Amino acid sequence: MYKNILFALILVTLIISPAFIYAHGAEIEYNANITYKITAKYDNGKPMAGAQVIIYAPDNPSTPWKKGVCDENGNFTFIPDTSKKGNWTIQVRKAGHGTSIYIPIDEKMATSGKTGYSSLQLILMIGCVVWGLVGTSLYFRR
Amino acid sequence: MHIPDGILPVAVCASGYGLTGLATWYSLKKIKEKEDPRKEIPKASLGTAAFFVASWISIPIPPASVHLVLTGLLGILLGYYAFPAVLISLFFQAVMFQHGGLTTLGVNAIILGLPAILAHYTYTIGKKFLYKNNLKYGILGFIIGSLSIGISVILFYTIVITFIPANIDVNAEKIASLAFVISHIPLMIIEGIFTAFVLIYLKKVKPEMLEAK
Repeated sequence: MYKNILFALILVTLIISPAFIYAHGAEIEYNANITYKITAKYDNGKPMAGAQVIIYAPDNPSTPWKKGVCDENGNFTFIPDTSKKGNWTIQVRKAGHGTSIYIPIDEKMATSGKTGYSSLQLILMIGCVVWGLVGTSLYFRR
Repeated sequence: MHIPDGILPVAVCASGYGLTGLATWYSLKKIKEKEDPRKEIPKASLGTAAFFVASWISIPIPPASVHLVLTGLLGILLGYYAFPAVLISLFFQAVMFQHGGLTTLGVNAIILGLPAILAHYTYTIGKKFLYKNNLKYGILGFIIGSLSIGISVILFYTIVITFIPANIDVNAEKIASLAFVISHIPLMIIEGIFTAFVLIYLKKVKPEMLEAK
């Protein structure tokens, strides 16, 4: 009888002990909840303060997924629904001025991106066009 | 004052191209009627370059910043060459810098080119009576320079406000557009003064440049 009680006690201890061990452990989960910050500026560098922002998810390009307004620095942040894979369209508009940018959200998510050119590229292109026009002028002046 | 892609409906963009086609055809027809249509191409080419570069010189006028447009001066100096000059310059600005857009090229050409043609007509009539007196001639330049901007701004405002998409907050867009219009009043004055000075200067040093017909 005494042996049976001791065996039962050992058995119960063995079964319960892992539960005690788990109770002292810890669990960590991770989920990427990426926030995108867009910065809208005019082409002279001035921020588009108060510009309207319209976001379209890839599964419905005609109905806005979210609407908002840029702050005084032209910034706007949003957390996309990463279950909707594809190109997200972000439109910014103020007083008939604005543009769109496309953010790919899939296995290879874009961490940054921009529209437009660098200052050096702009200067080079302006130079090329002006030179072309001056050249045309000189050609017809001969 | 350049409307970018994605702002206007397709029908409006197509109408803009239609009107621009008509205006270009009329301008080229008038140019071909000249004795030597090639003679003024150097001037038109340099005018196109000036218009192209002017859009990159910003003048900070709170709450916005504006840039010289020069359509009035182009109309005075180039006559019927002004509209093709504006169209070519807008094309380069749209293709190279996304300043404006390809779908809205026609609409933008009307917004900026039409005042240039009107400037040409106003100048042709006005100079007959005002050319001799420097002050009156300067005032004519001021009126043409500033009115050209005014007409462009009104055209821009009307088009943008009339065709606001359903997804946009209409009231916020109207208020922002009105602020845009008001911010161009100082530019009208600056452009008027600039046009007046250029006219008086050219009258003194190179009067033959003011003979565009």
